[in-house]
Parts: sequence; C-alpha cells; structure tokens
Amino acid sequence: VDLLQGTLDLLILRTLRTGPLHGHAVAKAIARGSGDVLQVEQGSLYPALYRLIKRGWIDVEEGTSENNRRAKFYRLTAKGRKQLQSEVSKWEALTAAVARILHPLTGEGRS
Amino acid sequence: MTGRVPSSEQLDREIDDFLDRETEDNIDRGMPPRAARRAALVSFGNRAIVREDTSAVFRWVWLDQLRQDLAYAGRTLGRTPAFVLSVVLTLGIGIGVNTAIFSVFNATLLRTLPVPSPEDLFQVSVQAPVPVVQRYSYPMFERLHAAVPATASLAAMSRVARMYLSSEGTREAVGVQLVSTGFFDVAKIRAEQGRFFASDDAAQVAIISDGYRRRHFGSSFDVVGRVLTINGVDVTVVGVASPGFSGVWLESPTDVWLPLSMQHLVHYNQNMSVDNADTEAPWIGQEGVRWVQLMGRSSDKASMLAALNMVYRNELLVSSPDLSAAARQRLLQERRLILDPLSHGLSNLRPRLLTPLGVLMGMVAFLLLMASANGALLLMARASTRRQEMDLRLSIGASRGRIVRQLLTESTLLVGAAMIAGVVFAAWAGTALARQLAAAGGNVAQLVVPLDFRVLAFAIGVTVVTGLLFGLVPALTLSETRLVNHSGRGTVGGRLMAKLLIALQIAVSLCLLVGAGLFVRAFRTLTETNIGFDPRPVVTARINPRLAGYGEGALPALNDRVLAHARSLPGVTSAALAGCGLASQCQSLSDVVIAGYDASPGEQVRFLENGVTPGYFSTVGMQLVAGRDFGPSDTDTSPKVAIVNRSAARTYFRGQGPVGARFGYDAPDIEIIGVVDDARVLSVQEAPVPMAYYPLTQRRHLAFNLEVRTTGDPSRLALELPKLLAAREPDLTIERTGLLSDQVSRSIGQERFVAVLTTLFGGVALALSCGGLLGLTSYAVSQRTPEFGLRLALGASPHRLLQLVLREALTLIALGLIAGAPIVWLLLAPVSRWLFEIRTTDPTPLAAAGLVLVTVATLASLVPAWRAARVNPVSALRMD
Repeated sequence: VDLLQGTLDLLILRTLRTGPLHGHAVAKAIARGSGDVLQVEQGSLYPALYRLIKRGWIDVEEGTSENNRRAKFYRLTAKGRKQLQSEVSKWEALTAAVARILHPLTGEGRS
Repeated sequence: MTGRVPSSEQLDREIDDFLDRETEDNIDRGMPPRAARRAALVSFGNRAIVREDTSAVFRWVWLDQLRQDLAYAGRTLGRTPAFVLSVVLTLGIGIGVNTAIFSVFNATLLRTLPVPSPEDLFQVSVQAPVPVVQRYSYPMFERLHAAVPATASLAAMSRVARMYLSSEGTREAVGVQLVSTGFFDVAKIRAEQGRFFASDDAAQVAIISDGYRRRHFGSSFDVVGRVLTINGVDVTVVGVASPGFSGVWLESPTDVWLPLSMQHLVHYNQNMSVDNADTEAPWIGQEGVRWVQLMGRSSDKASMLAALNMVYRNELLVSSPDLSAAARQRLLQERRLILDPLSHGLSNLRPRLLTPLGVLMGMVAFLLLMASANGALLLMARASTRRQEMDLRLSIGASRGRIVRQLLTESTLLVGAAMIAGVVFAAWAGTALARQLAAAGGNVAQLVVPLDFRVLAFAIGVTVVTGLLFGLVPALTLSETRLVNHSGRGTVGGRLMAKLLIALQIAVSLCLLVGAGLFVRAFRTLTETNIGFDPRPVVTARINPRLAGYGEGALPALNDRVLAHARSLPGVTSAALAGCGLASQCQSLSDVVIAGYDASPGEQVRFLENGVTPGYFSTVGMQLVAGRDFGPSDTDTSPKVAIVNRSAARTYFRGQGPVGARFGYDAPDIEIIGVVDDARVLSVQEAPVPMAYYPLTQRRHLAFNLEVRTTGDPSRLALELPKLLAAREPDLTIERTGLLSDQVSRSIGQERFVAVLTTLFGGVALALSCGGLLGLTSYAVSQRTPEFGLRLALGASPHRLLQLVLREALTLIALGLIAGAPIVWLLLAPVSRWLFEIRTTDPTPLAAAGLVLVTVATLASLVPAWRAARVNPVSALRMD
C-alpha cells in the first residue's frame, strides 16, 4: 500500500518515540509495525529523515549498533515530541472524518 | 535548523550501512549472498537520485545546480568557439539593430525634456481651419503674458539659430536661442552657476548650457563674467543652465541663450512672418513681425487657456475691423488658441522620422525573429551531435527538466553575450542612425540619442523574447530523445521543428523582401522625379558677408567681385548669387496681393521667394518660358521687377499671361517680367508651389549662395573655388562648398538610407533562410544516403532522386510562401500609404519578391539534391 502524502513523517516520528534508531531499523520498524502492509520506499526514507532534521524534530547522533557496528542513530527531540502529538491528533481527526463519509449509516447509528 | 548538517560522505556511509543491513536481512531469509546484495540494491533504487534528493533538503539546489550548469555550459561552449561566435554575432546584431532603432524612437518620441514635471509644459498654438502662422509678435506676447493667471507662466522664444561664437581666438558655430526673461522659470531649470535673465538686464548678457561650458571651457568651472563674441557682438556670461538641459528643440541643442532684445544686434532673422513692418529695424517693438513661439507652464490648463483666449479674441477683432458681423462671428468660432503638450520637446524631425522608424522597427523585429530561428537551427544541428551525451545523461537518471535547464543555461549564456554585443552596437549605431535618417539638405541634425533606462529595458526585453525562441524550442525538442533508439537519426519532433523554422524563415523573408522592394521603388521614383533644374555641372558655395563685417552699402561691389572671381576660373561658363540655396532647407514665404486676383475669404495668397542675380536660371539649368531674365539695368533704384514660376502663373494668372501683371506685399508695385519653369527648389519630395524671384539688388539677404556652372569637372571646381575666394577675399567667410548634385541627393538622403537598409535587411533575410534550407536539406540527404543507395541499386534513376529531394525542399518553400503572402497582403496597404506615390493594390512587389525567393531557395536546395543524385550505390549501402 502506498503511503499517503505526508504520512511518512508521522510514521517516522512515531517509530522514534520508543527510542533512537538507525535508518534501516526505522524502515523495518514501520514495515513490521504495519504488519508488512506499508513498505517504506527506501528512496524517500533519507530525504524524509533529513527533512525532519532540518525542521528540528529529530536529531542525529553517532552510536554503536547491536552487532558493534558504528551507525547513525535518529532521536526524537522535545520539539519533535510535541509535533508528534499534534500530528497524531490531526491524523485521528482526519481518519474519523474520512470514516464518517465512507460509512455514514454506522456513524449515525452510533451517535 | 540544527547546526549539524550531515555531509555527503556521512550520507554515503549511511546508505552503505542501510544496504549492508538489507543484504544481511535477505541472507537471513535464505538468499545466497550475491542475490541478497542485488535484491537490496534493486529495492533501494537509484542511489544518485536518493543522494541528490536528500542533500536537496539542505541546500539551495537551484543555485547549486545553476553553478554546475554555468560551469558546464562554459566548458561546452568553449570547445566550439566558431559556433559561439556565429551565434553571438547573429543574435547580437539582431538585438543591436532593434535596440538602436528603438533608441532613436525613444529619443524622439518617448523621452521627456529633462525639466521638473514636463507634463505641465505646453506650447501655445492657433487652431484654425486653414494653415496659419504659428508665431507671435513680441508686443502680442506681452499682452498675452499680462493676462496669464498667477498660477501659470508664459515665456517667448525664437528658433535655435546657428551663430558664430568667437572667444579667445577660436571661432565656432553654436546653437543660439533668444528667449524672454521668464524662459528658465517656465522651464523650471535652476542655474548651475550665476543667475538667469532679470527684467532689468542690460542687453548684452548670455546664459550658456552646461554641455557647452564643459566642451568649451573644460576644467575651468567658473565662467560667470567671461565675455563671448557672438556674430561679432560682445556678450557677458551671467549664468550656466543646469546639466542636461539644452533647450526645447530636440535636434538643435542650444548652447547659448540671449535676451530677445538682442535680435537686432546679432542679426537673428529666421522664422518671421512680416506684415507691414520693417525687418531691418529691431523686431522687438514691432507688431508686424511675428517671430516668437510661446512656451507656458500650468497645472490648470483650462483657466490658462481661458485667459489667453480672452486676449486672442480681442486681437482677432482688432486685426479685422472691416469684416461683416457674420464673418466676424465665424472667425471667432473658427479660431482659438490651444495648448499643445511640450513635455517631449519640439522637433521638426519627429514627423519625418515617425514613418521610417515605424517601418524599420517592424522590419528589424522580423529580422530578429529570423536570426533567432537561425540560431535555434544552429543549436539543433549542434545538438544532434550531442545526442549521445543527452542519451547518456538521461539514462543515468537526469530528469528531462534538468536537461532542458542545462540547454537553456547554454542558450542564455549565448543570448546574454549577444545582448552585451547588441547594446554596444546600439550605443554606436543609435546616433549614427538618427543622423542618417534625419539627413536633409546641408543641415546635420544634432539629435542626441542616449542609452537610458528605457533603451536598456527594451534591450533586455528583446533579449528575453529572443532567448525563449532561440533556446526553448531546441531544448524541448532535444530532450525528447528516446533512450533506446540510438540510430543517430534526428527525432521526428526535431526534424518537424526544423522544418517549421525554415518555413517561418521563408515567410518572414518574403515580408522583408517585399518591404525592400517597396522602398527601393519609392527611392527610384524620387531619383527619376523631374526637379526642374540641372545640378550636375554646378558647384554651390555659401558665403557670409555680414559676418565679415560688410555693411549694406559694400554688398553690391562685393557681389560683383565674387562673381568675377568665380567666372575667372577655367571651365566656368556662368556664375550667379542667390539668397537661398537649392535643396538647402532655406526658404522664405510671403503673403502678397496680386492685381486683378480676388482671393476668397481666408485664402492665403503666398509666394515662396528668392533673390537672384542675372544669369541664375541658366546657371542652375532652369528654363525661362516667357519674358526676360533680370539684367544689369535692374538695380535697387530701378522699378521693382520679379520673375514668377509656372505654378504661380497657373494659380493666380489664369487666362492671361502673367508677364506685365503686377503684385506686391502691401500694394501691387512689382512688375512681372518673366516666367520660369517649375522646379523643386526646397527638396526633391516637395512639389513646386507658387514662387517669385527678385533681382538680388532689390532684396536684402544675410548670407548668399554662390552657384557656379562649369563645363569641366565640378569636383575639381569645388576644391578650387574656395581656395580662390579665400585668396582674393581673405576676410569673407565661406561656410561650405560642394557639388549641387550632392546637396540635392542629400535631400533624399533619408529615402536612400531607408532603401539601402531595407535592401540589406531583405538580403540578410534571404541569405539566412536559404542558408537554413541548404543546411537542412544537406542534413536530410546525408541521413538518407543509404536509402538513396538502395533506391539506386533497385533501379531508381538519379533524376528521380533529385526530384525526391527537391520536392521536399519545394514543399517547405511553398509552405513559407503560403504563410507569408497573407501577412504581406495585410501589411502592404498601410505601409504603402505612408510611401511615396505607390499604389496599394499593386501585386508586383509581392510577385517579384516571391520569384526571387523561390529562385534562390530552389538553387540553395539544388546543391544537396544534386549530391543525392550522385550517390554511389555501393559505398552508400556499405555505410549501414
């Protein structure tokens, strides 16, 4: 399934909430977390990561990974955490609105 | 933004890291290592693009890419200097010619005078159903001036006259204008030094322009108090006008301003209309000499106009006391003063330049279109050799947009260089062009053609349009390259575009050739006009006895001596003096009364006039058709006599012959003793008008024209004559000497220049379009050589191949003609209406231009066609 425009940023931020990760792990985490439904197009991962760095939502630091290999780890900043909250609520509002349009009757019945 | 901007090496390492991990994952899934690596690479995609996209987040990519593009373009272009030179020259001349013509247009029609709020300046004119004298007497100016409301101002000024200025041993001709006290206040010019005229000025003071101060005094800044000698009169400089201001006449910049009261002292005698007055007495107090023009300034034109017209209506009533009440009423209704805008200055040239400038601007725009198309073709031809490079760049992941941009950068560089070349060319050509266009008689217009912001903006605008046409078309067609097709043949789009460009060129050439044909014919018509005199064996010289200090009484003796000197030269058959030279822009008109001729109300009975010595007509080759020539017995004391031309005889003496009839200024006291054939004395273009010649002895003139007829070589005489005069009459000023035929041909200088220019443009257009056709056809033939070889091998005759190639070229020519003909047809009528005696519906120019174009273009395509027919089938087939 192709990602909606702009959702990749949200997914990256959400993935990093649990702790710093390197690039490959971010992609894997998104794929695994979505039950392999969402495949991050690898060509767009790095531009997205760098875009988030530029906006100051994530940070990058050198570190050593599990099998003792040096890698760059991406970490959520305080600003990024705030952004994640607002993005999540925006996303939920959006999906709820879309759902109401797609299933009008169920929506009415429930309220 | 964080300070930690990742470097491209870091990014590279990360991507490597990513790929390693992906490979390991794949191995974990059971893939063999090689396949695992491959799968990782495939799923990652184009690494270069990812890298560029990622770093794009942090950098001003376009700027970066621009730098890359520029460096690359510089390198690529540097490798083909011949190509660069030809494109820059072609486009540079195209842009330069357009800019030069626009700069003349700008200088004469767009530029406002360098004064504060020029839109408030105006000239006072008389509006009347018949042409009337647009000048005022000084007393009339004073009455109008007194009526002007306090919020407005009014000043009087003479024309700009050429006078001789001597100071510290040097002598030169300068532009002098006589002005009333308030002139500079009306213009709102400030004094750079000193002051302007005050109402209580002693007569002999002068203001000089800053330009003249610079030219003449150079570094010495303080010139107030200096004494200049103008036409022999000493004047003291009291002020310098602000820089940039050189009067209100565009083509006659003013160097020196003098008070109007100095008219008599400096012998100013131009532009006057005399009505019962003594022109030898000072003009300033006389009601009968109308000689000043009025310049005013007001932001409230309506109240200004009302005030002026109050005075003017009164003036009309006073000047025509014996009219009936009804006639008076009509006069008052028909005539009034109006305010003509003066924001752009005064110019006699403006109406003369409008037509040629408009036509030339149209033509050079077409020419630039052709030059751009040609440049585009060159670019495309060059690009076909770069096809491999393009293919390679597309295949390693360059986007089409990026390639278009690269090509556009190259063409922009070329066009930019062309613009610089063009502006340099225009800076030189603008003034030269203006002088050539304005050429008439002996007067060289001193129009200044500056390169101001408007001209530069025009140059930039033209360049941008050129660049789009020149760069965009090839860039778009080129980037269409398909990755796989590597046959080396041009893409279908490219070939089609090239064909369209050729057809466009043919269409434009047709327009330009027709234009050239029209102008050449207009010029031919002028040269074949019967001018009524024979300038070929005549040398003309202008002498100025007044400047040498000869008084009224010494003139007759001087005249006799000058004529005797001239006649003493070998080969000279006759010599004569005249007040006004032929085709010299000197003219004098007078209203006359004719005995026995009843003028209808409002009709102006007016003679063009000239004073001549006996033998003038035979010297310049005019035919006396009745009566006698002047003789030695016609002196200043003998009865007044005149010879009129055929037009005068036809217009005013219908029925009976004019010889013996009388006319005069106030009373008919001049007897007509002869009739001379009509001649175009003012210029070749101007049809003869009623004219009277008087014996020079009965006239007073400031400068005289000496006409000398020879049986020998006139150009030798033109050299000998001034030498002899200078030797025999050392104090006499000889202003210029030359062949009369040169003077006549100068009066059609503008037409000749336009004809030459348009022919040149037409020729260039023809060469460009045929060159393009030749190139395209040659290219097509070289591409199709294997095919032709095959056809020959299969039994086609060489004749058939020739036909095949020619048919394609002829299709393009026909396409161009079909596109061009309606444009020509649309433009023909309005353009010919401007021109000299050409019927608008005449299809000859179109047919002739079409024929020339078809012939030359066919010849151009015949060369490659002939080559196609001579293809050797064996070697051609081996090519593939």
